[in-house]
Amino acid sequence: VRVVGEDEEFAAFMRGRYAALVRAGSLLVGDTAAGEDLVQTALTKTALRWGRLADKGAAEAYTRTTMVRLAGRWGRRKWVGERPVAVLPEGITPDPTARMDTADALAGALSRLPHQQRAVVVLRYYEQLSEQETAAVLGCSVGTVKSRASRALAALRADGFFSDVSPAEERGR
Amino acid sequence: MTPEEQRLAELLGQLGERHVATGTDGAWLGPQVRRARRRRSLAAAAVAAVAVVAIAGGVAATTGGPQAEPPPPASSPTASPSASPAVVEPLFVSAIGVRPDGSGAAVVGPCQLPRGTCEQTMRRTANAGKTLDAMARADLPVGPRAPVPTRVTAAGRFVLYVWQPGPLIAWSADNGNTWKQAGLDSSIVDIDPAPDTDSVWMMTRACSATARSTGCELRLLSGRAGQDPRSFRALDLPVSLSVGPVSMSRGAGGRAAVAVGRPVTGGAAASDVVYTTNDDGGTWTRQDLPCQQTPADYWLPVDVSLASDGSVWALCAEGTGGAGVLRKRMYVSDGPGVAFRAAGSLPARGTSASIGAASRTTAWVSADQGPVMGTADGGRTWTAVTGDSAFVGPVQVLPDGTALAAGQVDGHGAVWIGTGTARWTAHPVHGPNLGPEFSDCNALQPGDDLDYGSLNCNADQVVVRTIDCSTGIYVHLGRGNNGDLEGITGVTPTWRAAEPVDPRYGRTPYAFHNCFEEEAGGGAFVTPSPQASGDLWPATHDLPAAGVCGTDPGPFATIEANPDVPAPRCQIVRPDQRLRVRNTTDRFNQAGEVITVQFAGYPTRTLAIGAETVFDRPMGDYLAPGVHDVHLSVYRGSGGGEIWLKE
Repeated sequence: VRVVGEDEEFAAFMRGRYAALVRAGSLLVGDTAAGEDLVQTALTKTALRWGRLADKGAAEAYTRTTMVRLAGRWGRRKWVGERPVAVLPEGITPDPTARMDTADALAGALSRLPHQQRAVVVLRYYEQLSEQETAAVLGCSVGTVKSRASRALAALRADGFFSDVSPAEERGR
Repeated sequence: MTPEEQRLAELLGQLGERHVATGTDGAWLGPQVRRARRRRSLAAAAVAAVAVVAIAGGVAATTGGPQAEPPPPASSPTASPSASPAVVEPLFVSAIGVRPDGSGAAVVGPCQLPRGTCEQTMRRTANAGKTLDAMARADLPVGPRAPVPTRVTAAGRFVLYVWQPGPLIAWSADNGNTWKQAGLDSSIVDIDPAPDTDSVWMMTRACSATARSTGCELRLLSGRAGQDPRSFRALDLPVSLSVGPVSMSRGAGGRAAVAVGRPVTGGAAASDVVYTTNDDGGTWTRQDLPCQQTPADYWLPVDVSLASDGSVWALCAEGTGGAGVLRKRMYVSDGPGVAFRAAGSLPARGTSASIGAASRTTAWVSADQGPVMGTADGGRTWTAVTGDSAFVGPVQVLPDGTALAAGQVDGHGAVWIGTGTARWTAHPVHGPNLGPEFSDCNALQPGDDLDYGSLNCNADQVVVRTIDCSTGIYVHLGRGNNGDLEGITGVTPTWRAAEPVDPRYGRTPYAFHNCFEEEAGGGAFVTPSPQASGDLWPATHDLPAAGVCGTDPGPFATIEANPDVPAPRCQIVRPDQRLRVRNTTDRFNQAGEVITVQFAGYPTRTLAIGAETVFDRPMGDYLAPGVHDVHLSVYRGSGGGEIWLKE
């Protein structure tokens, strides 16, 4: 039964962050429906523990951590059925579909990354969390975040994702 | 950020834009959280249920291949008196409302409202709260217009109002099976049905920012039991504004009393007053109520009670109520127009208070904590009629002079029931079919009321039937060859005499026990008719909690109990399909475990690692349309599979 007070507070949090969490969750599991399912499951867990969250401002971080952990387990399940896209674009061309093709390819490439690397990619480069924040969500060290990000970037580079980034630019980092 | 990282962020942004959430209104949240809370709160009971399955021997245990249903009854069960005792978590009664005949309903949950926040369920009573029985499909209303269920008012024959002091109200015309709910444009102060007709009055109060000086708008509304409260019609009250609180009480024959604190007349707050009527609000008689004894006082009338002999009791409290502890003074009037006289005082205790009166000499006062105080001498002396309690609900008085109030005893919820100033009896509320009444089945006697179910007896057999309609745990104990002993500890084999079972029960699969059936006298269930529409096992929910539901084109809808979650978590099924459950807990390099499966009231089945069981009948034959939970013990406390029968 709905009981006002904490539930109202949680509902306000959920309404405000739901769409964003679904986008991140979908990137984590590779599919919007599964992402929504992931977020709903994570939010349910958050709701159950809402009363024990001393800092309600940390609710999103808690939910995100739950999502990452759930996504890690879901990756083992048959029913989630990730759908990697096997065919990579032949090259980056300026045709109108390029944007979609690249995104499709990225979805496939992400799905091939190990879960922890994918989580780092989503948290660091989609959620724009700092390395410290990412480490806190994942429960690992900053160094681990860096190494996972480096490996993920290397894998994506090998898939040709950064061919449009000039070596000069790369040298400029 | 490096150019590569910038490029990756850009691509991720494009990819993220594709994923648009569909469930932004959060409609899924309520049922999903509710279910999760229920699963968690029932975890102890589930563990206990699993434990007692062992008592039933081979009744439920199957570890081989496909299992037919229903399983054959155990021919020689080996009941063990030394089985582990059931673990019963505390349950509390947060509200109860009864009709003059003692029927009604209560709000029961693992925490005490309004102080706690937890899942609440509705229980039915046929004996003024002495026992509280499960109600199928009696989930309390949810959603933004659902009130916190701190008040229950039972009216008519099957009408229930669940409300809270505020604008939100829910009402059911079918004893809690279905609900409608609404938010009113003013706060509900009281709902009071007439004891002898289907008339229901509702008092509301709307306060503006300047209410302290101009008063709040009062409205006395009248309707029929079950009618949408928004369509109640207004009755004339002699006063339409008050600074202080307002309360009311109704009696038989069109009598009623309304106490108004600081009515505003001529632009100024006047002294407290009680209006009485003998013609259903057609005409009113005014009587001053001397709550405020001196100008320095700030006492207000917080409750009024009309006794069956026509006397009127009023309770005054210091302050406005709801803030700080309240000292209390009682006043009694012998009838309309007769001056109120002082009837004692009580020390400060609690932050809200109520009064219930049986006659001009007998009345009770409760605060929201502490003992209920009673008088049998017109208020000269007041004595505690209950133990000290951390929670006490409002006192209700039945026409026969019996009074009751929700409360606590030994840290558990209970309903206190009594008469006069004799010590009231506490009737603790028990969890699903695990109450102490079942600890010694040999002590059961024909006609006994159980805390959760009923006892039907005749010369040839004794049958105990009880069911927890929310979990499907079912107990059937009988001197017959189909009696199984699930859920009962301390059962001895003497209950297994080989006498023929009543064919009514033998033919009626207990999985389809009709929780809607009306209770006959003594709290006994009427035998369900196999032809009744209620024979379909009621759905737990209208929509699945899972975001994605799978389908299976074959004759079986299969759920695999994988580690972490079932696969699929939700399955849309056809009426001709049969449910098959596999224990695949050893997948993904996991060790696996023996699991139990509970579904639609079937006896609990046990599945070894790698084993499967089939519920042999087409699901359309026994499931009502909707979502049905498949309880798999491996997901203890965190869920199970969902079967969604759409047709």
